[in-house]
Order: sequence, then C-alpha cells, then structure tokens
Amino acid sequence: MAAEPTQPDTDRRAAEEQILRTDGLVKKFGQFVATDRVDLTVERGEFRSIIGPNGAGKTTLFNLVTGALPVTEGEIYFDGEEITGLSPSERVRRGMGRSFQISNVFGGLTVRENVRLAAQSIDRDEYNALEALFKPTDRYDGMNERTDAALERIGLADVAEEQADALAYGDKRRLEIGVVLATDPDLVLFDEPTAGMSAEETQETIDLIEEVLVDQTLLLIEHDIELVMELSDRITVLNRGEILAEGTPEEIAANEDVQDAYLGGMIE
Amino acid sequence: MNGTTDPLLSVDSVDAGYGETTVLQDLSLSIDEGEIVSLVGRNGAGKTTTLRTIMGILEPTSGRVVYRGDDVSGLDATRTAARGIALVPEERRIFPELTVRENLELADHGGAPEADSLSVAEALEMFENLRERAGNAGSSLSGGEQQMLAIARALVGGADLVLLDEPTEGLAPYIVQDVMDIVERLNDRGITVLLVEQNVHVCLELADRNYVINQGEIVYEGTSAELEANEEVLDRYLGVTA
Amino acid sequence: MTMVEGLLQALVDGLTIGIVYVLLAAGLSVIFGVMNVINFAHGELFALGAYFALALVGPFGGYGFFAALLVAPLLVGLIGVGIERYTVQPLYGRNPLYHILLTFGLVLVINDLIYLVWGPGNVSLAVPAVLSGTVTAFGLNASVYNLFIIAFGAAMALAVWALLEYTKYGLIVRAGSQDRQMVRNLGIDIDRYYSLVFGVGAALAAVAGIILGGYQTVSPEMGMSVIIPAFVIVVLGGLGSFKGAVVGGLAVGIIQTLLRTYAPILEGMVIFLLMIAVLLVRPHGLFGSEAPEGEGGGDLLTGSGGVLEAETRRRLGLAAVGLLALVPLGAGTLYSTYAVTLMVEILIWGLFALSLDFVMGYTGLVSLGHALFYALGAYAVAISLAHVGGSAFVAIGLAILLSAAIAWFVGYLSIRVSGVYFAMITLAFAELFYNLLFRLEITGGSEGLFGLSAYYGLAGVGISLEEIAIFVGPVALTGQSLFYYIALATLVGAFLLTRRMLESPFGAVLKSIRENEQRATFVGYETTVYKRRAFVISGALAGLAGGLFTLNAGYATPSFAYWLHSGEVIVMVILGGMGTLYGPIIGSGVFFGLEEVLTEFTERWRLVLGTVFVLFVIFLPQGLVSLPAQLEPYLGGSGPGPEPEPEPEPTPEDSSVRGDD
Repeated sequence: MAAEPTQPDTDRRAAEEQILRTDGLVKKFGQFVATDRVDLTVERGEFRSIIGPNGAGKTTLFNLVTGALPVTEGEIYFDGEEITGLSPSERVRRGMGRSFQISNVFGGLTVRENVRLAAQSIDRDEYNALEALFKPTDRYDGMNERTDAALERIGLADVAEEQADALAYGDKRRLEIGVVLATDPDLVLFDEPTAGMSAEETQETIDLIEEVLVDQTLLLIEHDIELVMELSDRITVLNRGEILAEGTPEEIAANEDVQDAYLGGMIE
Repeated sequence: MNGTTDPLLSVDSVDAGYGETTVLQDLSLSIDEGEIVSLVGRNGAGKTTTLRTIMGILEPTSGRVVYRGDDVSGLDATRTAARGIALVPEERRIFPELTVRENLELADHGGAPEADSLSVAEALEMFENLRERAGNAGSSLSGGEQQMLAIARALVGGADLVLLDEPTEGLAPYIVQDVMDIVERLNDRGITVLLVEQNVHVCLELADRNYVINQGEIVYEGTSAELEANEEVLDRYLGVTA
Repeated sequence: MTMVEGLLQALVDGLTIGIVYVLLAAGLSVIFGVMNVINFAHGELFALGAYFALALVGPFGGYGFFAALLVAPLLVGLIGVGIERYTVQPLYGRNPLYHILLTFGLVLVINDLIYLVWGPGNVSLAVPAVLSGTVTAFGLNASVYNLFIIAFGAAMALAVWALLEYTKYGLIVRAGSQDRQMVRNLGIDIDRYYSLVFGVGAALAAVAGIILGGYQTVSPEMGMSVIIPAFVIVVLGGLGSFKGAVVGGLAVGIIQTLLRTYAPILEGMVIFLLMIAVLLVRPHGLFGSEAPEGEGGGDLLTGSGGVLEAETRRRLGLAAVGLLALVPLGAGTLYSTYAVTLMVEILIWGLFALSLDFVMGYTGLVSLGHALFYALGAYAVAISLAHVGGSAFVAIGLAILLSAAIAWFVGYLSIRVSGVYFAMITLAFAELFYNLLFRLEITGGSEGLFGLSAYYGLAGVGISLEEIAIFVGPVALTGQSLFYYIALATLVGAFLLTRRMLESPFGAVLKSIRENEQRATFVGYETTVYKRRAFVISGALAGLAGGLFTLNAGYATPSFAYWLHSGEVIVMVILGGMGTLYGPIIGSGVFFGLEEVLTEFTERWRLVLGTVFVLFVIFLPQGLVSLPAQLEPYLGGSGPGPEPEPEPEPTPEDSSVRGDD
C-alpha cells in the first residue's frame, strides 16, 4: 500500500468547504423532466443565487433540496452527509432553514410562540419526554432566552405578544425570517423573498437578510435578475431544468448563452 | 358614434383582497372592444387578483366593474361567464379526467347571446394539435397543449372578452410564439383580450396598450411604444434594464 | 350439490347482494365526489325506499311491486332534493366534518320517523308471482328473483353510467367532481346540479332498498346495517369514482357471501381488513384520483380557547366543579337517585368527548372510530375483573395501557392517510373490533360480560364502594354516589392534564400543526409523530372513560364499539365546541340532558334530537361555547365580542370570496 496520493485529501478539504452538493439530480413528473441532471455545489459562507426564466425548474430544484418533493434520480449532500431520502423536518434539524413567502407563519399564535416553536425545534433532545409533555413552555430558560434573542435581533420584541396575523406587512416579513433564524440554520434557502414588493421594500428586505443572516450561507431563488446581480457571490442559471451557466455576477452578465435564454428578446 | 364609445370593460376604483388583506387599491382600468390590453407587473403585484375580481370570483370591497355598461361587480363567476367574459387561468385548469373533446363540449353551452362562438368542431379545426388528441385525457396534454385547450375552451364558450392569465408561463420559447400567434388570431376574430403577463416582451409585442401594476395599484399606462421607451418604468417596476 | 355447484350458487347470491351494494354506493360516491358530502343518511334513504314500496304494494297487490319500483324511488329522490336544498346547501364551503353532524342528525330523524309510521319489527315485502320460483340451468337452481335483481340492478347501474358518460348532465357532474370553480368559470351554475345529484343518489338508494327488501325483509334497522359496508365500498373504490363503486360493490357482495358459506368466522370482518389493506397500499382507493381533495377546505371552526376570557373561564370552571360536587347530596331527597346515575354517565362521556377533542380539535384528525378505544377500555376492565382479580386499580391500569397500545398501532397505520380516509380507516378498525367482540369467547360474545364487581385496592386488599358510607350532614354517600366523585375527579384530572400538555412544548407543536402543518414540518417537526402521540394520549383517555363505565355499571357489551357511539361522541364534541377541551364536556351534558328531557315527553326523542342537530349545525357551527358571543348583539351587550356571523374567516365559498382557489 503506497502512501495516499494527495488528491483525496484536497477532496476532503473541498468537501468540508461544501455545505450543499447535488449529484446528477433528476426530477420527472410523468414524461416531463423538470430537473435535468443538476450538479450544484454551494460553499460555506457564500451568497448563491439561482435564477432562470419562468418554468426553468427553480422551484422544483428548491423543493428537491428541502425535501418537499422526492427525487427521481441523483443524490443530495448536506454538510458532507447524504440527505437524499431524509424528511424535510430532519433536514431542518440538520441546519437547513427554509424561508417561505410572506404570511406563511402560524397566524393564530403570538409572535413569541412563532419564534419559540422554531427555537424549541432544535434543542428538544435536551429534555426528556415527560418534561416535553408537562412542563409549560415558559419555564424552559434556554429556549426562551434564545427566543428573546431572536426577537431582539429581528426587532419584534415590542410586539412579541401580538397575534402574528395582526402584524403589519413588513413585520410579518421580519417574523418569517425570525422563525428561520431561530432554527439556527447553517444554510438558509429563500424562495423569491421580495416577490411583489416595491423597490423600497425590496431594499429593506435585502438589508434585513444581510443584517440578520450575515453568518449563514444563503441560497436564493429569484427571477429578478437585477437583485441577484447586486447581492450574490455566485449565480447559477437554470434553463429548462438544466444548469446553463454558473459564475460570478460579472461572468453571468457577460455570458452569451444566458443572454439568449434568459434575457432573450428583452429590450435591447 | 363619434369617438366617444363606451369601453367594453371598465374597472372603476376597485379595492379587493382576501380576508383582512387588501390586495388591490383604488385600481382603475378600461378596455375598448377589439383591443388587446396587457396588465404587467411582478409576481404578487395583484394581477391575478384583478382578473379574479373582474370575473366575480372575488367581490370588490369598494368600486365597481362595468361590462357593456352594466355593473357586474355583484355577479359571481357563473353569471359573468354567461355574459361573455372568459377566464383562462394561470394554471389552465383543464379537467384532467375529461377528454380534450369533453373539455370543449363542457364549455359549449350558449355563452353570451351575441357572440359568434366557435363550435367544438371548429375549435378542433382551428387548433391543430388538439384535433389529433381529441380523445385523450386532459391530463395527458403537455403544458403548451393545455394552454391551447384552455384558450379554445374560452372560444367555444362564446367569450367576447378573454382574460388571459400568464399564458406563456412555463412554456418553451417556440411554444410561447405559438401562444402569441393564437392570441392574435383571437383578436382578429374580434375578441377583446386582457393579457396578464410577467414577461414584458410578450406584452410589448401583443398589446395595444399596457397597464403596469405594482403593489395593487396601476402605476403606469401607455402604448407599447411608449412603455418600451420608458426606461424608468421598465427598470423600477418590471426589473428590465434597457 | 358438488363443490363447484356450491361455489356457483354462492357466486350468484353474492352477485345479488353485490348489485344492491353497487346501487347504494354509486350514489354515495358521486355525492361525495361532486359535493364533498359524507352522507350518513344514505342508509336511511335506502330504508325509506323499502318502506314506501311496502306502502305501495299493499293497496295494489303483487304487481304493485313494479309500480313501487318506479314510484318509491321517485318519492325518495324528491326527499333527497329537499334534503340537499334545505339542509346541505347552507353548509357548502364548510369543513366536511359538519356534514357528518348534519347527516347524523338526519339519520336520527328519518329513522325515528320510520319507527313512528311503520313501527318496529321485520316485515316482508311481497314480490309478484312472476318473480318467485326458481329456474334450473346447468344443474344450478337460481331463484327468479335473484336473476331479476341482477338484471334489473345491472340495467340501473348501466343507465347511470350512460347518464354520466354520455349526457351533458353527466359531463357537468364529472367535471364538477374534478374542479368546481372552473365549471363555474365556464358559466355553468353547478350549484343547481347538486340537488339533482343528491336526488338521483337518493333514488338509487331507494331502488337498492326495495330490491333488497323483496329479497330479505324490511326493518327499521336495515339502513343502519348497510351504511357502513356502503362506506367501505366507496372508500375501497375511491371516493367519487363510479367505477370504484361498481367494482367495490360487487367484490364486497361476493366476498361476503362466499365467506358466509366457507369461513363464517371471518364474515363481517374481512371487508374492513380489505379496506384497511387497500388504503395502506393505495391511500386514495382503487380508482380514486390522486388529485388533492379540492375545495374540501373550509376551516374547522375551532374555538381555539379564545371564546371566554381566561380568568372568567377559570372562575366558571371552579364554580362548575363546585356545583357538580354538590349533586349527590341532594339525591334521594331533592331529586331521585337516578340523577346521580345520569350525571355519572355525563361525566364519563364528557371524558370520552374530551379525549376525542384532543386529537380532533388540536390536530385535525377526525377519528370516526373512537368507540374502539372506549370499548377496549370497558372490556379490559371487564376481563380484568373477571379473570385477573377484582382490583379496580389494576383493571383501570390495564384499560389505559391496552387502549394506548392499540391507539399506537391504529395511529401508526392510519395517520399516514389524511382527511376523510383517516376517518374511514379508524371507522374500519372500530367495526372490526365490534365484529370481533361477537365472536370471541373471552368477551362473552353477543351477550358481553356482566355481573362484575370491583374493590378499591390492590392484591386482594381493598374495599368495595358499597361498604363505605361517608356522612355529610344527614346524607350518607355510598356506592354510586361515591363513584360519582371518582368520575368527577377523573374528569377534572384529565382536563387539567390535557390542558397542561397543551401548554408544554408538545402542545405548542400540536397547535402549530393545527395552524399550518407544512410550516411546522419546515421548522423541523416530524408532524406525523406528534399526531400519533396525540392519538395515543387520546386513545388512552377514551379507554379510561370506557373502563370507568364498566367499573361502575359492572358490564360491557359489543354495542360499546358500535359506530353509532363513535358518531355520538363526535356530535358531542362539535355540539360543545371543538378545540376547547371544556366544550365537549358541555356537549356531553347537553346530549344526555336533551335525551333525558325528551324521553320524558315523547318516545320520539331521537326525532327531536336529530332535528336539534340539524338546526344546530346550520345556525351555530362554532358550538355551544360560542352561544354567549352569538347572543350578545341581541341582548344589547356591548364590547367587542366575536362577530355574530358564524364564519370567522372567509372560507372559499362564502360571500366575499366566491369559489375556491
């Protein structure tokens, strides 16, 4: 047995840098191929965006990664471990946070209860079954401290006792992000977080994401190319289920395939 | 008639929404007979809600919808459809377990009295690829074919005004072209079209006039030439760099 | 008769029954497919058909049968149209659960009317001479009537199929079962067709009732006895699928008859096993479409505890418990000792209803077979007292353990399917157990177990309640009165326990599931695990309730597991107010109170009770706990109470948002 060549070692180091990797991911709906052999690698700490025209398969890819849809072929690795067959909730517990579009919070519960549910989700192994059944939630110090911290950070501490449904538009958005934050994610996936917002609100939301989630790896799905160009470290362009191009915003802007497929026909 | 004909459809200062949430705010627009008018805006801007309000699926909380001079804001979808307004929804909503022919036959029930509606046979004549698949179940159609069927269904129903919700969404570019051709053929038959799109390009090519909607309000109105030239609107509301 | 001939004979008989099931299930299935209504009253319409025929055959003699076959279904069809128009229509857009309550009420009403008009007992429906006798072919004796049923039933089924497949009416109905709102968008007033669908379904049920009446006999219970198999067939075949109803109906008819001949021990059980197996493999039945359940939506109108202020609620609760504690003191002097017996029953059923509310009101799982756990608890106590020893504590402990274990098992198998299918699978488990009770020796067969007594203690050391007397002033509390306090304490304990659980992290997850299950998943919760745990807790409490009953009454009978019991407890929960824990207890009180008061005035109390349910579900869908808020505007009360409108949110079909999304 000769000494190991250095190749696997660099591979391992590379793997440690990778937080998310998909290998030959395929999703078919009947005959229709929505995701076609997608190999995607996201590195720790980066801000990655996935863009593509309508119907390019962005949402399907998103659903495969989060576990909302089963894959047809291929594997998904998170933090070095295969997660292809895991349930969505298990992925969340391993540090994959998912943000929804607005109003997908627990509307009938208070702001605090919303955030606490998320905080509770990650440290529930720390207490025994009897405790979990009978000890009132307001007596768990650790959980409540983290809840308060998250509320502080998203600036909703003042309205913590209000029902989530009653919040103003922007505050709901904050709560949405707060719930994700409280699950202590290593990677946060966003699905068009600024859809339907004015330019001003878009900027506020982006500021909020950058402020609150600065330490996390972010994976953003967006069809607003402007926004993406401004924010991302790297961009992946999907077209008809396939990866068309990948690179820095500058590289993507200069890529002719992208011009054709995505911006094709737009005003010159 | 000297230039001041009433519009076919006018939406006057409409507020509408779901539960406590108001989506449309003081929204007004009007469409003349024979026009193709687009309503363009980003995701979530209120485009689909506008169509649902016109159709009567959603009742406006204030303001009114006037069609052929009658206030139709109190009517439900069944009644607006009977007056000649057809909605081709974003998801197409083909009946998956009915055949293509049955999907068309279902729509064939009179419709608006003055409309020169298509018979099922004529519709199958007009839409070639549907003719080949007349006996197949709706669920077996491709996205493009479903879109065609949804439009054909509106024609068979005898619509005078077709509300098209994102007809090109999720379709391959060459099929987008087919859909655009069909919309123009509709218009050639004298059918008025209100086209909702995210894709500005489709709007600019098809529409006589365009309304830009943002956050439930109309923020711009203009012909395609005017909109194309207005970099600020394109950039600010539609995310298009000139 | 050779083996083969015997088999053929059984096949012909099976086909005969199968055809009846097909006619019955076809209407039920299409009604569900198009309107999302789970129609428990379908069996009563079936019985009504047979009784109308009976009334028509009388004056016209033998050939009146043919006239009856035409006229009776028409009449029943008209009744169906009336039911749809005046009772079902106000409920469209609400959760299908309300249809259960409504049609359950209708079952009571129609069934009692049948008793009122025709009286109890079996009557035979005269069949004309042409149809009697037998024909022999291939060495096989077939009765003419059998052949007539098969031919006539098949012709009817074929006609319905042709109607659905080849007419515009059928096209609209089929389209409506796929996407109601789009049918409306095409300018078709689908709501007008609902009455017709309901009417045709009712008429088909009537036809089935008449031909089965001629084959067997006509009795007031005939509706109750067919409705559950009919549901099994509908679920087996796939809700809303006509083809499924035909295949399922024939299969169940044949399998049932074959088993009666060859494996009588399994008869009555195998169809439930079959349904459970099919649902586990194909959660939408054999021919059901995988499409989402459409506009089934319509939020459950749960009280979510906010109906009364917390402090008010606490004071009212304390006052109620205080008052209840006084009840036995007046027994025998202010009122008869029967009052205590009645109150014990109310408390026990209050516990039972509370157990159901814990899963139904907080996780949205509608268990239609909760009587299973009640009966399990009751039998566990009975068997323990009879065989293990007389200790009440051991017996109750066993009851809780056994019902919790079975609840885990049932939950493990059934929580993976959702909505109506979950309701049906739990119903199947309960019916399975019900049938099993008749067959097992240890459960005493159809007689059940009785004459049991218990002592309160362990290992032979303890005392029976009869031997204790506690004097409170002039009143001696003993036996039943003492048990009353045990029941009261158990109920209060269970209430406090479940309320505490809802304030714990576990309860927080349950509430989040009720609010938004998908989001709960993406916050990191395996929601099925939480639902299953809630189901186990609920099953254990239901078992405790059943155990208490047997402990006190000293008997257990198979009827404890009957589906009517499961229906009644659902009625109590909805009646009182779901998702409140205390509402269902009130519901139990009102249910038994009404029954008690009504039986005093009229033998037809079920008629009145049923009518109350029907009116209730139409006018007070949030339960009795919402009554104060509902009355407020009329009593001139001020302050911001909940709106007088019964709908808290715009459901897909109410005035502001027409149609689904």
